[in-house]
Amino acid sequence: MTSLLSIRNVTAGYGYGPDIVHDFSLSLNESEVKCIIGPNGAGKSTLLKAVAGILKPRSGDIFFEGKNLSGKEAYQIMRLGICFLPQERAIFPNLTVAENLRMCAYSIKDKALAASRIKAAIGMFPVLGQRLKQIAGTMSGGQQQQLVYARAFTIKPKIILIDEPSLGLAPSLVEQTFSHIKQIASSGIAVLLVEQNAIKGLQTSGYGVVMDLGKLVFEKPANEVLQDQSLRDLYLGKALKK
Amino acid sequence: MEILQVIILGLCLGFVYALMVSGLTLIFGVMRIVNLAHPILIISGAFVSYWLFILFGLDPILSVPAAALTVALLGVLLYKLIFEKNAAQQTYSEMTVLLTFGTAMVIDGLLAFLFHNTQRTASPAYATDAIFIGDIFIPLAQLYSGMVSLGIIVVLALFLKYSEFGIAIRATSQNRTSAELVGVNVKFVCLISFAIGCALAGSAGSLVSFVFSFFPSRHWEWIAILMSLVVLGGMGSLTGAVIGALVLSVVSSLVGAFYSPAWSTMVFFLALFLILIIRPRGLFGIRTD
Ligand SMILES: Nc1ncnc2c1ncn2[C@@H]1O[C@H](COP(=O)(O)OP(=O)(O)O)[C@@H](O)[C@H]1O
Ligand SMILES: [Mg+2]
Repeated sequence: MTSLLSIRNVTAGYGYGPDIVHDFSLSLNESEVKCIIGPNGAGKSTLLKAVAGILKPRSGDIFFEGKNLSGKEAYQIMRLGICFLPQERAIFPNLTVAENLRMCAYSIKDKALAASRIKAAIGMFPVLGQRLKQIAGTMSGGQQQQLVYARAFTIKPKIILIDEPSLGLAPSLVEQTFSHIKQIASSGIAVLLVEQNAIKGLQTSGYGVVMDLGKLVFEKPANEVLQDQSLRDLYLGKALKK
Repeated sequence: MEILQVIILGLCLGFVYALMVSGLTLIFGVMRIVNLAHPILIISGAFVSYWLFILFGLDPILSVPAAALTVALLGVLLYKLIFEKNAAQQTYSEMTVLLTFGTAMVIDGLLAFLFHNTQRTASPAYATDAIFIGDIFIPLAQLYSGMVSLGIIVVLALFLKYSEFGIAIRATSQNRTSAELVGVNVKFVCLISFAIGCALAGSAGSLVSFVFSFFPSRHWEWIAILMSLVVLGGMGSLTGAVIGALVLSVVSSLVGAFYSPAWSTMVFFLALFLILIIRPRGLFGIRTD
């Protein structure tokens, strides 16, 4: 059986700069949740950008459902079923909530379906329904998070790539955000997560992937990473001391 | 009453200026292209309407679609030739200033070669007519071109506000990557926005053709006026540019009527200086990128 997403020997970098991601391989099956952890600057965001098509890999291939994604534009990759929520807020702050939701459903050709998906998303996040006319950037952080995750339920992608979902959030919002992610995972969407808060990230995931200096260090079931004392000291040290 | 009359005339011209600047603002907002060729595209549109009037007697208001389409096609050609390839360059926005400046000179030269730099105005029957409301006197040419401009601006605003493609245009101008990530074909949105911006220039040209006298080199004067409107409104803000156009046009008319016509154009340049000194982001400049 081929996996849903298969990253094969991908090397990537920016402009004329050095390689940031080196010969990286990873695969993700349907409904699987994997969490990539690793120090700052390891190349985690760069890897996700390469998968989403924002950054073209220098070499290697990425296959999705057996199709090679090389040469595809980011919007085409998104339409195939790979949704990327980047580290910077993934909403349009100057558009209203209603306009943001319409943009979430932009890729759905069948407009009746799009409207019903938006309705369903509002059903899950009633706050959004009460604030349809509000400029999204003026909502509270928690409300903006709901708008970000409403996208997953609107487009129902096959895979969602999430970069540092808890970065810069208040502790109560971190809880809320991870509950959204668990909800997405339990709806059968495969998740590839990058997370600084390694403990939270691993608790949400089936597998933990450690990345350093652009390379894959190892990949193990998440609970093994969480339980192995030497791994905890090496890779989760900082997170544990908090 | 005289002051009311001057204000009404200023508003009519203001809507024409607003239409002239709307395409420039749209193109800057979406693509960060500072299109110095915009005014010469307006003049190209004016020539389309002028010749349709001279050769076939077609009313310039009725030839708005023809001028819009012609200039839009010219715009698409320009976009494909000079912008699309360079869009990925880091210094793209700066580059567009030089590219469009060169383009403006080339089109100016071509038009001057074909039609000479003689002053022209289309003169439909109503061009010399006027209506009186009480003792306020409004020339029909100004009234018609102002009202049709207003109509086109309203249609543009409704399209950008409510249509899905319009929202995608605004989303793209806020953040290209975010737009791409919800499945927007950003390159296509850019091409269409450029074509729409040029169509707006073409339609403004038709409406200008019977209000102002025009000749190819007149675009140099308009570049400065339109730039002052864009900066006053806040780079890339359509609402800002329209309000800027109305305000400056009225002030310029008042100065022309009560002080000296020689100073009315200076209003635009003075406003440009003042805005850049006092509030460089303009009236509505709220960009978050
Ligand atoms: N847009 C960019 N242009 C050039 N270099 C970048 C860019 N983004 C990130 N980098 C560099 O790539 C390296 C890895 O960054 P990143 O993938 O963001 O790491 P991580 O997400 O693991 O913290 C860093 O050294 C960073 O300086
Ligand atoms: Mg990162």
